[in-house]
Amino acid sequence: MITEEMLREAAHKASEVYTAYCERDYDPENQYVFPQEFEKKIERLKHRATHPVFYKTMHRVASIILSILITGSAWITVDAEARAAVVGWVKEIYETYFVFRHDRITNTATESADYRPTWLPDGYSEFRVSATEARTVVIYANDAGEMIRFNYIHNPDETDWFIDVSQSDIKNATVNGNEADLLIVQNSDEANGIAWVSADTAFYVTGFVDENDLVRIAESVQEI
Amino acid sequence: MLIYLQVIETPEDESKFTEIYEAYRGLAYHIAYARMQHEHDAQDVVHHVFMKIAENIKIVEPVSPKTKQLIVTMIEHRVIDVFRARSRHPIDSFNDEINPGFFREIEGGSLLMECIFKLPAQQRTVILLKYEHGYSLREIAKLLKISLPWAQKIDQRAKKKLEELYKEGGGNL
Repeated sequence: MITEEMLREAAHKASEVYTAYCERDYDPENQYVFPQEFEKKIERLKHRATHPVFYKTMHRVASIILSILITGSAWITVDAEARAAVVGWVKEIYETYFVFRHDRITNTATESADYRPTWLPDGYSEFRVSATEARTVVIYANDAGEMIRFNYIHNPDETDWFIDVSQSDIKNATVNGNEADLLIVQNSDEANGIAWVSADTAFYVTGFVDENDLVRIAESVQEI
Repeated sequence: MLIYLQVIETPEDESKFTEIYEAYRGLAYHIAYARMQHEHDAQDVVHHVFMKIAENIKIVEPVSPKTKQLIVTMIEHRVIDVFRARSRHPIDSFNDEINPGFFREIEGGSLLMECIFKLPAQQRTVILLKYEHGYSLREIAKLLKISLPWAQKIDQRAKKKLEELYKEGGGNL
């Protein structure tokens, strides 16, 4: 068994060696001069360094303000009947986009579950996962470089999720008994998509696959 | 509000951040540019990394060889992240494993060190942050902006992969 001590020693040496490797042709006397605009951005970071909690709060406040602005300006175009609440999530339907928004306060300290589709079309395999406290994006690719993106939001406090539907025909579908929206694009350069809500989590899958495969992927999603 | 912020600054943290930035911005750009080969892309990488340093300034050491290594590790991680996000053929177009040939001749190197270089980039980053820099998985998750469960999974996979590579390389466990 590789012990923690062995790992510490090897990681120390690896880090030291790799840094030396990166520095091998670096001349500190002849440094790149960053443009003034860049230095201004760094000045703003200094304030963030001093007030990390404050900046997080500001970020959240900004999200809420943005949400209110968007809602306020576009609300008149919304059909009240189109506002459908599903297990705490609200889907608002606008002319060119959907917004998934959670409608109740929850305990964000709750550990969230991980999900993955258990079926994918032949040739696709996972190559990238990007996860934050609120969102997870898993990208699958095949040898032709085509991708399927599997996204879900498991933290309702992450406010809103906008899905552009301006280039899509929207069809109703069902995913394991939950209502879903199939977004079928008119342009073959764009990916089709399917969005649904289940078990307090909002899901969205996009890919260069037909609607039957999208539904099949969606129905195969399971907690891991 | 900005005026308010400027008035209530804590000098210690700002000074620590400034010293780190001034000590390592040149090297950070040098590494980022070598990989990105594009001025603005390299600037974006450097900005992202110093943004993470700023957000986590309380758990970052002051200027030291270890802090330099942290910056190098985070630049490397960010570069790979950007390449992967942009590329339609990330596996073919970008090899995120460092060529271990260079490191074989290093004095004091070990089989396990070589195995660390053979890990996929994200796994390598987590191992270095955990075992060289002593960060907890919760802190690593924050630094890399990933979830704690995902950081735990990467850690587990990295250790499993290291054992496989170590055995393949002739190491006795």
